[in-house]
Amino acid sequence: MSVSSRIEDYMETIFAIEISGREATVTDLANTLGVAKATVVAAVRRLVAASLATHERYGTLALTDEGRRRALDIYRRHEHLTFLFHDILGFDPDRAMSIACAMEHELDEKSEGRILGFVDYLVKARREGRSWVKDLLTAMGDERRLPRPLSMLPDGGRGVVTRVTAGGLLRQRLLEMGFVPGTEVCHCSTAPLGDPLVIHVRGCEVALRKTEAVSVWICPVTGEDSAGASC
Amino acid sequence: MSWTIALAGNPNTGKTSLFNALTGSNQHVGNWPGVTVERKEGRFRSSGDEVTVVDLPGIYSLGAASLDEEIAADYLLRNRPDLAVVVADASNLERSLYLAVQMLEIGTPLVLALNMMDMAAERGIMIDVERLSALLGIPVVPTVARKKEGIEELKERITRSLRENSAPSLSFALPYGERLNPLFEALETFLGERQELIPGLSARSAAVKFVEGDVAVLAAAESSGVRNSMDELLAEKGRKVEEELGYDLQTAVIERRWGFVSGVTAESVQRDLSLKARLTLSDRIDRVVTSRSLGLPLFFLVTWAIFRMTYALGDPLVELLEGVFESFGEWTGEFFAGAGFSEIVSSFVQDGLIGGVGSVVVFFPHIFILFAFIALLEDSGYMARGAFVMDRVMHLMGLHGKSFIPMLMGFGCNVPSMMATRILEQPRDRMITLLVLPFMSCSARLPVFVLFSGIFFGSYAGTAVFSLYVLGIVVAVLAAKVLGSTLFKGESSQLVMELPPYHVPSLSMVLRHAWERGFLFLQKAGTFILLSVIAVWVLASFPWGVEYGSSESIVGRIGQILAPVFAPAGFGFWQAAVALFFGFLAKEVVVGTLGALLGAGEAGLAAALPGLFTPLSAYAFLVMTLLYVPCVAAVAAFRRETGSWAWTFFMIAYTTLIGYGGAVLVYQGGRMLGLG
Repeated sequence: MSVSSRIEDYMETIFAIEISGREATVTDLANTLGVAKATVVAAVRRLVAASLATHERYGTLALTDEGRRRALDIYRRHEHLTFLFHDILGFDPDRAMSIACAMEHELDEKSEGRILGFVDYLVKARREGRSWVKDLLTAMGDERRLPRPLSMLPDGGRGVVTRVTAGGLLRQRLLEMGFVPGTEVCHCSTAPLGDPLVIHVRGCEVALRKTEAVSVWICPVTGEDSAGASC
Repeated sequence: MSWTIALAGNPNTGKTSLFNALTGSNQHVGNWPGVTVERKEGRFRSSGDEVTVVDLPGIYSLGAASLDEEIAADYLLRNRPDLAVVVADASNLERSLYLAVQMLEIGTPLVLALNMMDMAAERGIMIDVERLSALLGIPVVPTVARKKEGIEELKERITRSLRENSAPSLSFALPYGERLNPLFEALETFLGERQELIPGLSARSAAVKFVEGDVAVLAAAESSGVRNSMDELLAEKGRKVEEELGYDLQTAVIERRWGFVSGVTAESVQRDLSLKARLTLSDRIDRVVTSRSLGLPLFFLVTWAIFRMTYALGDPLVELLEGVFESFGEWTGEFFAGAGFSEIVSSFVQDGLIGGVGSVVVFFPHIFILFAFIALLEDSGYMARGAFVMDRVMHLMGLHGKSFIPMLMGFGCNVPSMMATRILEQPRDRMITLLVLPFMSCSARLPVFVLFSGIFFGSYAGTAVFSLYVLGIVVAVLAAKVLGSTLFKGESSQLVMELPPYHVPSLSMVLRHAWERGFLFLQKAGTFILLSVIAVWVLASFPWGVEYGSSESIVGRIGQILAPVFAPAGFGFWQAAVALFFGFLAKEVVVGTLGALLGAGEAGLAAALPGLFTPLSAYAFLVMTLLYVPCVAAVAAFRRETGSWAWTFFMIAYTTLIGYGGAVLVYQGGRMLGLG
């Protein structure tokens, strides 16, 4: 039986209240989740119907053993994701929380296990003061490095080729003209009618149509870390 | 001894200059078998050896991604020249080395000519020639082909290498690294137990080329029935490599090759950074020439100037030649008649033979001048810029930026413009451009338009003529669109074009290029034109004794049979059919023929034509004249440029059908609108 992510949020919230040593009420849930009491009542009814919770009339809520088991999964995933995005990747707590809320429902045991392994390893390495951790985190924190098609590089912009997604003869031509991973290219200028573009690659200037440039992926670079390709 | 060597190199590395410097005037120009890519061959002698130099097309790689690359790779693999000279641009060594390394990989013995050393020095680039030679294991000779510097040393080095080893060198192995090597070894072992995929290609090279997805090697594997086994082997071993590298095997092989080339370049080239930082002159020119505001106007100005100059300089020469041939024809006609030959002989000599030769030779001035300008554009580096600024517009029609030049030239004369399609590298672009060129209204059609419009449309004559030009363009654009999405569907049109640094063009090379083109035209297209002119003479003169081209002649009878066909277009009388038939010789002949057939002469046409044509049927006749099969010279040029009779007949048929359809549409449409 699959439970909708909204219902999972209810279970998670009841669980969070339970582990703080209190008993959850409809009012608590409505306040925490920011919804109307009537909405909560309807959701609780569904939880009860699925034997995931018990509800005394006008009284307190409690998760069943099965409900608690499932709530634990969601709660734990939420915690792990929040840790990853806040403590490791450095997002502010609210942002980390909402990313975690969106992702936790898609995670399963296996993917959670992998993330946990990764986070654990990283935390351990950071504790031991390994230098690569800093490099890794800096690299991950550099948002400019997100790859994009070459056609989106502004006039005068520079980038490093990451891959060529064109197929067939165009692919071969592009690769053999020097658009291979690791090559720094520069978008020198644009034709008067907005297409094609002039790209500086490996010592020469090549005209590419935008439809061709879209298939070359690059990571933009800035002045400091440029290897020198310029127009 | 006598040897054969190949000359290879990237475009714009001065390869042609070097070829000229090596072989002098000792050259032969032809085509590569089966295709219309130019093949030049020359000879030189050095210390008793005779060396034949085969000039390969200018290419960036042997990847067979274009026709030129296919030709070069095929020649190197199948003909196995004794040696190849790679011409490298010393100021951009890396790119040239990529090609050189590919050639080494397939076992071609090489000599590297480091050309344009002077330009490199100007840009602060210093090359350690000995280091480079040692790293690649091949002789390296610095040259400046334009100034004929280093040519003797190059010749001497070539003959020395030829004598030292004539066997294919198989010693070069590019270090592909520990990830790719096991994969190559597995394939190499597999291939080693079998017959060579391509004769002369080592198992190792074949393995590398298979992994990088080389079209020729894949095809060879397919035809020898090992493709599936090799694919399996690749799938089994290659997946892990791809995962580790983070990209596919084709990228991996090409990336490693570039890596090696970069390494060699870094070790042998020193740059004076103070010079490099300065904007080169070429960059400064480009700022203006390709700028947003001036790029297009400048391009139109340049092409318009070429158009004007070609015809302004060429027309007087053509008139002169026409005059010479006419008086010479008359003179010989009289001479033969006077010498007692029968009239049939003198008429054949005068109208058939000399008239035929004359109609070939008159094209020479325009072809020569146009190609001098085109060579000037290409040699200076402006051609690529022109294609660059025009590509957006031409691409909308499914064509390449460079197609603009032949299309514009078409307004002057379709013949040189068809020859100008050689600037297009991809067969698809060339073919479509060739097929739509006949719709560009050439200057020979203008006299017909002017005469008819003057007679029938009075003060609207100018508008009528202009509308025909526009109609020609519209039909060309539509035809290009339709052809591109039907017959040539799926064939990709690429740009990916180098914008070479600007050069001061060399006058001797420009003239040489123009002369070669003109001469080729006389030689190849000339025969066809001459034969057609003679055929028309026969049709118009026989049965012997009838008046030339009259209703009793063969052509007159054909005209009578065809006349009803033209009735729906409004000109269903035999004189019109015969005039159109003679228009095949040259479109302006339509006027003269009508004059002769109506017994009025050109001057009397104004009185005679309104008896046959209404303004509507006259316009329909002009539409037909504009669009139907271009003149015999254009057909000959088309046949020569496509190398295919099938395409030539297709072109004749489809233009004639469009012309006929257009004429019928105009006449019937006009009648429906009550214009009849």
